Amino acid sequence: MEEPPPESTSADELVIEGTGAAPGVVLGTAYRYEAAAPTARRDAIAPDAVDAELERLANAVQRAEQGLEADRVWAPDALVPDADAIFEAQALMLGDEDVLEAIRQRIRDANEPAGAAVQAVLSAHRERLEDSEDAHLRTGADDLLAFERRLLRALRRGAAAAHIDGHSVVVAQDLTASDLLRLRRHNLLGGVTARGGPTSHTAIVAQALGVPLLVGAGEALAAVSAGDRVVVDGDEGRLIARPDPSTEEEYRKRAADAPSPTAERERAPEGPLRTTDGHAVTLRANVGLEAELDPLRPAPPDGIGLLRTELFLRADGDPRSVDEERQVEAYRQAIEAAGEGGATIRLLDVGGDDRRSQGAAEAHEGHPVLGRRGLRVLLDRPDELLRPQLRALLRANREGPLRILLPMVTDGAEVRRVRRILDEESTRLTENGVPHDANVPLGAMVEVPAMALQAPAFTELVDFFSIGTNDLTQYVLAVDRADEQVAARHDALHPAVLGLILRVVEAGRMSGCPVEVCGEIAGDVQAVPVLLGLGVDTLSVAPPSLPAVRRIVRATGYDAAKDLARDVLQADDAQAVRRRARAWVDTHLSSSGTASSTTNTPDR
Amino acid sequence: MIEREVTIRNRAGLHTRPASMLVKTASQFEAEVYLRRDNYEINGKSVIGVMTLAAEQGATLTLVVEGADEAEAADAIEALFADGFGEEL
Repeated sequence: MEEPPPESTSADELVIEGTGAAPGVVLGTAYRYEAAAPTARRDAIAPDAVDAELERLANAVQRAEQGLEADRVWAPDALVPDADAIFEAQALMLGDEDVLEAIRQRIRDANEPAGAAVQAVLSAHRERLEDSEDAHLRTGADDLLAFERRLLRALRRGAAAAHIDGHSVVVAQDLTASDLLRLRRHNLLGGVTARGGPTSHTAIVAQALGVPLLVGAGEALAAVSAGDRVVVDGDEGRLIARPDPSTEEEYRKRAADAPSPTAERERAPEGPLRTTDGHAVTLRANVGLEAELDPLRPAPPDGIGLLRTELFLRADGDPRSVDEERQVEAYRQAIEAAGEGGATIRLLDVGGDDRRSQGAAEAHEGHPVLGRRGLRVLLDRPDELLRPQLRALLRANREGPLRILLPMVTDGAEVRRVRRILDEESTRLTENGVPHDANVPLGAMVEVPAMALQAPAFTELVDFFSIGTNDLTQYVLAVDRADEQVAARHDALHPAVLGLILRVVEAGRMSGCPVEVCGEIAGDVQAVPVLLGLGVDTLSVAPPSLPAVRRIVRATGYDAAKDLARDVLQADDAQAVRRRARAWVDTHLSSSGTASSTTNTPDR
Repeated sequence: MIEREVTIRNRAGLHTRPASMLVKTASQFEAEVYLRRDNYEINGKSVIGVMTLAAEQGATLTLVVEGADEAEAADAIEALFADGFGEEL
């Protein structure tokens, strides 16, 4: 088995020597990966980068197609009229060769970055429609805009590589540890990099994940194209591209002899979480204290969906006293506990009902929940809390997938300002030679009704939505949760709140912008089927609720849940919704009790 | 080459959904399909192109079909217009 592969017997086989950084042998299909472009916008790309940019566009189209398929399956078509027609049109748009060629032409001839080319071509088409005197035809401009956003999002999410499948081997100039973790989430088989050494953090992560990795393959790697059959031999430090049948056979045997390092590490014994009719649901954990991380480690859910940093960072009673270094370490811990699903970290949400942490002046406000809190505080004095926290997050993002979540967003201007500050801090870190990863998704909490109502407009600004139903309910129902005289009126299953959730889900689905629900309602057994029926596919709940929510998801059929959602949206108060939801849960899941058993045949 | 006049009959015009139907039908044929409105001509297999015709109810377009199966293609597409794309007339 030790003999080297035969000299190229066909003109095509290519053997490249490098350094094995993580052991194992895999056969797969080459996936060429380019690290995400720096966040700074560029006016033009270098002439020799045109091919890479064209490939980035092609990858984005593929990713967008896959995202569209997923959204289509989950689309609450029973609730949103015409949703299916719009998805159908978007699928045709992604295959519109005339338009794609016009975009490619701008990249080739004008050296425009792909994003700018997409915008230029599509906005020209959009303007034609916006000029129409016919109101119905003008709505086509909205459909084009949703498509444009989906494509731009897919371009931005270069690193997420959703079209990687279980046969892919990533081929890249270089990979960070967090790149590798992100790709592994898509079942990456192995990796090869032109640069890098065997002692890098990336190598350590590859070993831990059992992903064979070859580093230092050098410039020869440029001869490997996307889609090529490749063998990665992490034991011998060798890559074979387009192997001859005999070579491939030899390696196939070797790979079969060795126990598959990845097979041993499959996740939770129960496998991925699905509804009875097979729709995948992502279930994450909400975390507020460092002590909550430990119980997650043995069997992490699909990551941390909400890490509240207020108490998590509080060293001696005040989050403001926590310095940047301490924050980097705290986030590193969270990433490690979150595993492949990554961690969504919410920026400090001070103010509101957290009255004790407020200064005397702020305590005098009549309605603190309507006052200076969340992003409002952060943006008032960005140097104090916002900039250090963003720097720490950019630095920690090297260690694994992070997502940044903004609390209490009301206006688009707020999001734009945070993005600008994030860019500035990334630039400053680069200037100072501080390692970090600027490729970090930025999401917004949906808590303020204004935000939910304007969700379609926000899909252009944010990379994901996270619906905080506790505050959203308080604002929609005009009920202060801290006021015990009215607190009982606070119920997120109010049809008005559900209607806003649907609005956000619809906006997200139409443009490929992920939506998750992280409020208490996500852990409420009666509410889960309603949320699934509204088209929500990602829930984040307090760790103690994880098992019950898993059980209820596994016992719920998506189609039946859709009927339930349509039904409760017609109700006129939360009690009516609760009654119907309870009855639904009883009929559909009662055979052995909702909280005690997993049954695959809930319909009796 | 076949050239025919077609008229938009459905009330909502050639909006996103009918545009998709048209492109799906045109794409089933080998023949090249073009639609012309005044001096603006688009590829009948490009959904974004068809949408940008912004053809409202009552608008008249020129359908141009060229290729081996042009007769079948022209008939199939003409039928969509005649039926108002299955929408309210």
